[in-house]
Amino acid sequence: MTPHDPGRSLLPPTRRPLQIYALDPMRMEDTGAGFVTPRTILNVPYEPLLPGPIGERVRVIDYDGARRTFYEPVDLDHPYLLLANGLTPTETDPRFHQQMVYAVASSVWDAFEAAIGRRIGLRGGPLTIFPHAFYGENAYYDPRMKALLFGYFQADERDAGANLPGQMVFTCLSHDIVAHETTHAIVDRLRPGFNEVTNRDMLAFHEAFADLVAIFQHFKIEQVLVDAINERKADLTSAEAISGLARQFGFASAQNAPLRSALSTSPDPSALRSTFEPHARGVILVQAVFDAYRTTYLAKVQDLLRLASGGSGILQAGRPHPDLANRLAREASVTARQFFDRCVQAFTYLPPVDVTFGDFLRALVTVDAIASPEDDGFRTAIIEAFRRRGIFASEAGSMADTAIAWPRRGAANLPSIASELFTETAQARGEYRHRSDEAKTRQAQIAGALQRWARDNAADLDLAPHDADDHPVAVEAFHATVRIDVNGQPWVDTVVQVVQQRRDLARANPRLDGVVPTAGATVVADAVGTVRYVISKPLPPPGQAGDGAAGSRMAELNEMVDAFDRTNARGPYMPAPENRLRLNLAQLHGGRDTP
Amino acid sequence: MCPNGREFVDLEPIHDHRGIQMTDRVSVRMYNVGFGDCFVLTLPGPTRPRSVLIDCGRHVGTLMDAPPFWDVVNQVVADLPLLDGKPFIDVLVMTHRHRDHVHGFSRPDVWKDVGVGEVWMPWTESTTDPVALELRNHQDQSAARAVHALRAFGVKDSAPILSIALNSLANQDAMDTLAGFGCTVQYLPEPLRPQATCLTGVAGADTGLPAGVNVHVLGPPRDTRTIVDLAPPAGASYLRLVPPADDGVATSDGPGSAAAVAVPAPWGGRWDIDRATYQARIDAAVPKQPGPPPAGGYLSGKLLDQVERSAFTDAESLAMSVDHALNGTSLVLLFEVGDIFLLFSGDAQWGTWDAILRNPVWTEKLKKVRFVKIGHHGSHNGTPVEFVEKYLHDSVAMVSVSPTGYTAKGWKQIPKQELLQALEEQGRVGLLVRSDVLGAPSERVLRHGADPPLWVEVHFDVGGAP
Repeated sequence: MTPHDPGRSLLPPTRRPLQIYALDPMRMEDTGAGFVTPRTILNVPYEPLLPGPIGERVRVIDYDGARRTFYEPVDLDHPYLLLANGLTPTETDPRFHQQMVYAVASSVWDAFEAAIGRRIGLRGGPLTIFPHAFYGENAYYDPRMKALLFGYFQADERDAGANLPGQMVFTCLSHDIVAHETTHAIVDRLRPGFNEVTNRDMLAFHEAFADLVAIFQHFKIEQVLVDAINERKADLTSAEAISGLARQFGFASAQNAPLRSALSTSPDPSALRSTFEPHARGVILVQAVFDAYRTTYLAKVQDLLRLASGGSGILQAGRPHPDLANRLAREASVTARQFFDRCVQAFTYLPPVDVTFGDFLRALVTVDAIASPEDDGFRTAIIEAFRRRGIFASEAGSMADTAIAWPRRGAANLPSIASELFTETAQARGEYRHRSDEAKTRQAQIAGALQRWARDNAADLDLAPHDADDHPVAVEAFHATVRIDVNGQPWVDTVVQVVQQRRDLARANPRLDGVVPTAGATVVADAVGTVRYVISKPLPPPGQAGDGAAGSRMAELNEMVDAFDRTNARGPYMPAPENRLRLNLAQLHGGRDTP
Repeated sequence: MCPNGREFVDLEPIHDHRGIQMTDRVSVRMYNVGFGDCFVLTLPGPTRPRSVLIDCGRHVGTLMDAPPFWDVVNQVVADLPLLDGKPFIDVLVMTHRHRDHVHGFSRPDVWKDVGVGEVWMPWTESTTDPVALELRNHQDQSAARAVHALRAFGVKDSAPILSIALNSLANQDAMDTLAGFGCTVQYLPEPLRPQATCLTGVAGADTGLPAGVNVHVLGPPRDTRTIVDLAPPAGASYLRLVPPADDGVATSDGPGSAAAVAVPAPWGGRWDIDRATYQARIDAAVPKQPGPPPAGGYLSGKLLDQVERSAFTDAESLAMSVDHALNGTSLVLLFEVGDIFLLFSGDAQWGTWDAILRNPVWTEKLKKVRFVKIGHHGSHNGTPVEFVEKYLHDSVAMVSVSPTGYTAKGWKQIPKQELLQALEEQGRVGLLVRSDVLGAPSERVLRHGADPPLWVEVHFDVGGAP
């Protein structure tokens, strides 16, 4: 550098502001304010970008597979765009589309890392996004490509729905669709074992979780709520109004039509026993969490409403005072942040395979009890909303939050795991692809130590003894998370995901037809390696039928394989039947032939 | 081998199938059409044996041409018994409209001298039932559009999917031939009497089912849940791009005009650039790149191939769904001849099977099945485990297959080895006959033609009074 370099004494910025559409421009309803599409600015982590934009975690490549052409890439590091918060939102310039998918995906990724308290590894490489991949009314995450693919299509000339007849509709311009798909990509990195769909909740869980992230990510943007109240006369004082706003945000758009009506219906506790179509079943979980959100938010603003109404709590007709509108928006946003954080943090406390709605409930309650030992209303609201929809943690044996939370392990039960895990993760913080050779060696050593630990303690993890051929115990992932607890102190979880492929069970159960059952355990320890939780998914011991959870898992797996065989149109033409339960979001989002 | 000549490799025929003679035997002859179905059932009749032809087609995804398909079809016609000097079919059954079950009818000249007593089809083929009309229209359009879209996108390795879509086309030429026979067409179960599931031979009639023979129509069901299963999903957006089926483009043999579908260019193509230009944009900024580029660069050919493939995900899904839906319309017929029960399930899928297996009247009859045509060429979704394990014992099974000659290398599940093994376990099936394999010579199996055979036949002696 020369002494004249103006950058010499400057640090790089931490954030990059980028404009996006706050609401899907394709699905705007006329609210009386005309068809001006609301915009907002997302502040995403700063990184140098190549045209695309191509960053370290997220790469946008605008290649159209249907037309076999590229579209001009945006250079967000161009001085003009740096000055102007990027391009102004428009449908007519693909470079804005690229900017928007980059901004939304980066912000979701960033919010995940902030909530979960760790970096999300780039397992299998960065996330590639194709904002105009194909012609069609669909958008999906492809786990093999590690890529998001967005479709575009021309609205029907005769039946255009909310669109102009013949208008080109771009799925990549919906904040909530992009957030939803990005969530699938992140879940693939957090829990690769969830790609094997081994019970009736799993596809529904994938969909519901992605919807919840999209909803809360949207509600977190306070300015969007303020604008909605002030400019679009949205009401934030009743449960119906909150649902209405969620619908307007468009998360219930392309792939999730059932949600449009679902948010306002009263719960049916028996629906869970008879609803198996993944989207419909997922709606039940979305409803439950969103219901708890409304309850929590409305409880928080009761004092505001009383203050603003002379004590009655019932506001006068007409628009609320701008100060009140701001405060309501603030509370809605803060509560959304709490729900977003809890949902994401719950992932740390989920098993590595075979997740169920009940597991999610237990993880939510566990994480909230750590963050807020005196229930601030979240746990009660969640447990009640889940109960009303028939979602239980049946093995917990009680509806008390202390029973629903995963049981803590006594320190004496299990030897500590490798304590270098925490320091190593702290050191590796911020590194993605550019991990030094030294760091790689250290990681390999830790992996080896954890593997030995898991094999030595297999029985305590509800796994079969290690057998290299028939039932190998393997460490799939490990990391440390750091959050701030209720006392303002760092709360460290060191987490190891252990899986065990049970080839012996695959052989003994010809009906599984090649599908290999996988047992697993998520081990959560503290900073020095003392085990706090073992969250396991057992399978029957070798040579035994198995009872309890293990036996019912085998029964459910058999049922899933049968259901797949009966209904999957592709079945006969599939070359590898053992992969049949593999998650296929393209089909799921297209709404086709899922078991 | 002499394709049209007679060549019995093992045994002389037990009876001359052209002869008009009393017989107390039921025979089932499976013609070797490869990936397809063609069966002739010969029933004992009062004055002459009655012949029932069940399907005649070959999948476009079959590469094999030995024996040549039209040689087989000509053989079918040549083998037919004569009535008043003309080859005659008492009952012609079309189980469903897939090409691999009807393509043999696509050339009317082959059938011009053949007389037909009556034609049976699934109710979904009715020309008057509005539910059937709508369903079929939807299926035809979906298949045609899937074909069109797959051709238009011209994606690498799409041939197997294309063949599946082609198989589901309306096959109108074949349907025209069937209509051209000018005989009664029965849509089953009858739309106005869906509960009437048993057809009975009429005493004294010269043609059709002989008296004493009952045919139970076990499928397809008519309930609305199953109808939903039969309708491929609507609304896939490329449907809007693709012209309707009646433009003559979508035929199974014609090349089609791929250029007819143009994906509309967003922004009128104003922002289109080629790969080199895109790469140049990235390269121009390389000094500040966030890290070393990945091996193969940011725009690797493999990645771009995968994106191109995504362009036909919808078309692929639609092709598969139509295939599934059409299979679901299959007629399922249980022939009762004295004490012999013979089950022909077409390519029926789970929805139909589920309804059958939940019906105690029908499951009683399934216990008596002596012959079963294995559904959907032995793939796992045509034959439920429950049926194999609970209802088959000491039966004869025939499966029409062509495992070595598919367009797609990946179709290793047709037939599914585990299913064939399960059939032969625990005495469920005492005799399993494949259309493509020469088994050991036996008294019970007749064959015509050398390796591969033109047809194989099994027969049953009828006890009780037919």
